[in-house]
Amino acid sequence: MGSGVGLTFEHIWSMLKTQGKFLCVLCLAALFGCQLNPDFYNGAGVKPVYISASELSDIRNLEPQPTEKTGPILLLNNLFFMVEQKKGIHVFDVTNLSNPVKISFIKIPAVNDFSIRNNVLLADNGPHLVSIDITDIYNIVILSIESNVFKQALFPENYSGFFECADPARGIIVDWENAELTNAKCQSFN
Amino acid sequence: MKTGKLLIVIIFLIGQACLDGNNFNEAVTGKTGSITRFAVKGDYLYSLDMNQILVFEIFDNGETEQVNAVPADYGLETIIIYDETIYVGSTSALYILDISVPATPVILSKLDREEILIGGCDPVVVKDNYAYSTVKIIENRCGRLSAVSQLIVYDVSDKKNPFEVNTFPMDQPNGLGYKDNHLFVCDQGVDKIQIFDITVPTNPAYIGFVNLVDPIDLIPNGETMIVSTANDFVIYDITDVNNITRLSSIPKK
Repeated sequence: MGSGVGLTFEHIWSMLKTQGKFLCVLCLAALFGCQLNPDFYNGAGVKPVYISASELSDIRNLEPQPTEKTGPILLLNNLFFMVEQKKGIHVFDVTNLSNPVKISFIKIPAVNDFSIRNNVLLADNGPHLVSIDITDIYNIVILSIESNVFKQALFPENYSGFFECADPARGIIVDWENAELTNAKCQSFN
Repeated sequence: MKTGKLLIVIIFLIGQACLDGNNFNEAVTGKTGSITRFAVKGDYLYSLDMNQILVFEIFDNGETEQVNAVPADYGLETIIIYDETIYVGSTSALYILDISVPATPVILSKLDREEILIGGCDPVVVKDNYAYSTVKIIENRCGRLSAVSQLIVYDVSDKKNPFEVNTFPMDQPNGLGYKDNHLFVCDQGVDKIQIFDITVPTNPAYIGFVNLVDPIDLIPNGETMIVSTANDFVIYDITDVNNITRLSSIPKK
């Protein structure tokens, strides 16, 4: 996980100053492994959805996929790119503006954001930065992966209530799903 | 006569060569929306981590190497580059950074917002000496029953000392962008793209809207504009901002 786990008190103080209104102390405690909440909770909540290192590294072209939860967008000549959050990047041919065509999907399992320089697409994939040659949009080529450069959030955003504490050892969190919790120790207030 | 024509051709060719020379270092990066954590300029990628601005050098073979990390407060949300300057929107402030030395961004200023306007999703666009940013406060967050989301106009002519010059109430604003003197703002709360005339930047005039469910971000591009929604995108003809027409159908496979 790299630096994401190693939050110092200086970081926490900075977070409290900027986001203290939204993140309660217990939620911050979740970052440390949730030791501060003595009340274990049983009942409805959310838990992390992890993907393994091998799933995370599965970056490739897929057939066009449905658009469900869009993210950042980019227009490059006649190609329009749109993130599908934590799944990949849709590629549309917009040569004919009244009839855009979905032509491909670049699977990047934990993507949030991306950019393009010449024929190289740069994207985050969980904590990693990946560099992909898109000269042939139907046959992308991974050029490099720079590991553990982005910190990862270990709590559900925009959620109030109990959640199963995140365990970075189990993989990269790509989502939070509803679950019946047993002995849940982490809680957040928005 | 023939010599004249030849001379014109030669002058034209020299002119082209000069233009090419000027563009030698400019990378092709496309146009992004305003809600993004990645920005490329020249040989560098600037990317937002939770509380730092990471700088990566991009080599000719496409590989990257992190060369710098500029510390900031938590809550960094969006980044754009305008001229030699980076603008970062955070949940609590607007950062302006100089990148005249590309690998070493320097924070020129950090303009904190008043406390009631600390929120999420704070995209920024810049035109000449003015920056336009939306601040989205989600209702009921932290028990605040009626917080105010806004479009904020900043004077950034002095990058070390930007200041707020105007604000407009919005419902749940997201991304924004402009074409010439028209500013388009996605307002998800009321399902509209709001349109302002920014001929007088300090005093934008509201001139109308386009109905669209859940607009998120947009890219004006000449006579057209692409707008992403929560689960799709739409292309508009914006030749006449008083008569914006939808061009695109639902994308086919």
